[in-house]
Amino acid sequence: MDYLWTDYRRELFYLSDTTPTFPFEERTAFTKQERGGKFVESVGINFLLRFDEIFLPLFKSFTLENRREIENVFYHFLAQLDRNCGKHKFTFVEELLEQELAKNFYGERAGEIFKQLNSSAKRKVVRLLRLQEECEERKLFFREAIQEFFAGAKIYFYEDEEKFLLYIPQEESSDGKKIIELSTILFLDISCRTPEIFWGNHFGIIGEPETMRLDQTIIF
Amino acid sequence: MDEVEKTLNEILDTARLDTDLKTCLKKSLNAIYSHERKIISELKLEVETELKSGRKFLPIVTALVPREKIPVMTEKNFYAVDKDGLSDKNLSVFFKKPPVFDVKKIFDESNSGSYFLCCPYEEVEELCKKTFVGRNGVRTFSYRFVPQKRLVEQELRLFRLVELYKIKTPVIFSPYARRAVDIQILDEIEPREIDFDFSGNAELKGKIVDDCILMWNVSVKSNVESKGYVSPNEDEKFHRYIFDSGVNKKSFVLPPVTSEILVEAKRIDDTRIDIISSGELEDAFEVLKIVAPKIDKTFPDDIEIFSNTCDTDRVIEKNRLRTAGDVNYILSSLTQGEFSCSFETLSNTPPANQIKSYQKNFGHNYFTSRAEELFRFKAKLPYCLVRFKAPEKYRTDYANFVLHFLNRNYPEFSWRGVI
Repeated sequence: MDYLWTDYRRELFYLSDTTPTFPFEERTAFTKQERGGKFVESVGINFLLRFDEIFLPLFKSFTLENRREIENVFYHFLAQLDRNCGKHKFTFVEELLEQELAKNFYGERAGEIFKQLNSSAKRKVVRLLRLQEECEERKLFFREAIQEFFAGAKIYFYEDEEKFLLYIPQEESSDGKKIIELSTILFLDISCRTPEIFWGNHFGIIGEPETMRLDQTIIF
Repeated sequence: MDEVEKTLNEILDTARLDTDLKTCLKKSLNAIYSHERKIISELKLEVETELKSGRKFLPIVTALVPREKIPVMTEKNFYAVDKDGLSDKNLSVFFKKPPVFDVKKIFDESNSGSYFLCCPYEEVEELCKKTFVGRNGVRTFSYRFVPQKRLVEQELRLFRLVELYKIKTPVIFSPYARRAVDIQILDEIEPREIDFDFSGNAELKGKIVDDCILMWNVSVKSNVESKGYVSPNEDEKFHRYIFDSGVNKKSFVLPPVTSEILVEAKRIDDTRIDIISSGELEDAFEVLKIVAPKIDKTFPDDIEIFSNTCDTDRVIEKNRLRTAGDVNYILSSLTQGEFSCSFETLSNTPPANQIKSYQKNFGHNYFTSRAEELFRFKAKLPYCLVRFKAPEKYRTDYANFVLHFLNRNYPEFSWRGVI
């Protein structure tokens, strides 16, 4: 079921759907509504499911145009409340960890890279850090961190030289390198050597046809 | 105003409604929203408090105080580390040939008392290569500085305290306790032949001071008897000594030193401490109170204070260190003002340019037992190198303070300081 807060965007114009197709759906389809001479993308909300006490009195008190404007404001407000509602304890822990990372508590270099990340990447980092701290570091989350940031990434351990090899299935970039550096600082054992990284093309493994491709394989 | 509240206000501004209605709605929604924020911040504080609860820290502050300022510092809740040093001006100059008359009459008043080094440890050897002529030009003589451990020995009670009460934070940062020295005259010479003012001499001026005492914010009461005693019986096979008078959350009871009797301290509420032991103890305990020093605008500017500050106000309490981030987390918590430390590297071999430990300098190893020293020496641990930044005079002291804390609480590495 789609709720009020699903796919929330501040540009949307929310209004009460007085004839919902399905009585147990909260959010109905997108439509275009005329508003002040322009057409705006709008979403109908079945207020009878959760918000009847808030919106029913509006029908008696205001003109149609005023009511629609007031409803839109109220729905935006309620959507924000919905998003904040039921905050789990770990959300607070992650906010505190984010502050500590930004204050360079994990080192100047870690703080410097962390501040340059976008909000989605920051959330991933603090979530993994929190999980690692909850395990009291009986398990390190290096593999999870690399696979979270680089879909399809693989980690190998090369026994002969006792080092980790990382295959990242995308082109080398400074942002990518910074993320790997941050993951190494926060999630890799301090005694491990810096992993060797292979960007874009996988190194060939004899016996694995997928890795043995002409002109797309690195010799290691 | 945060992002969300700003968004809602902008939506209301663009709504096609009367101005009065807009104002009314804005006020109501803002009031509801700030109530929501208040609840969230209260919850955040509750979570933070829960994460940080149970952490214990002993704030110990030390200061080297000239004798004329002792009354001022006493009002600021400072006490002499060595009480004997207050009333008795112990002479700290020793002669090869013991004098047969009262030496105190020979020297000026200002020449008596413990000496404290005020220079980097690396300069001490150079200072001792000098020879001087006595004031009345009679004899040249040479001398050396001998570490005076009387002040350091007073710290033993704090180290026993942290073991007994399971306190994990750094114990004490007291450079001047380790810089107390006696002067030993190396030639066979009578005191009246030298009549020398060491601290006033041009070559030693600024390198050593005298007529000062070391003070801290710890009040020590000795020979305290317990208020109650429970002998072993059917229900409890231990001796229990009860202290419930004059005890608060800043008080700590220390039992007499024993070698074979196991002792435990239990704090019951904030007004009672029980000492539980496997054998009978002498009823002569010590009660220590850590008093908050009054460091305000009237605090003398010329007195340096040192504190064992450690940032305990952090989300995570690290019990083990596995990543470079973990090591930096601990090191950054030990940074205070001009004193800072950072992770350099991990190594399989000891570094060449190591900061000297106290043990090599002045024979003091923070009361680590010989057995523990051997265990650490023989363990094949990787060397975790830490770079220190501090005023040159105190860099060795700060490094030893930090390295001792790290070796004690995170023994998975052998911690070394590098220049």
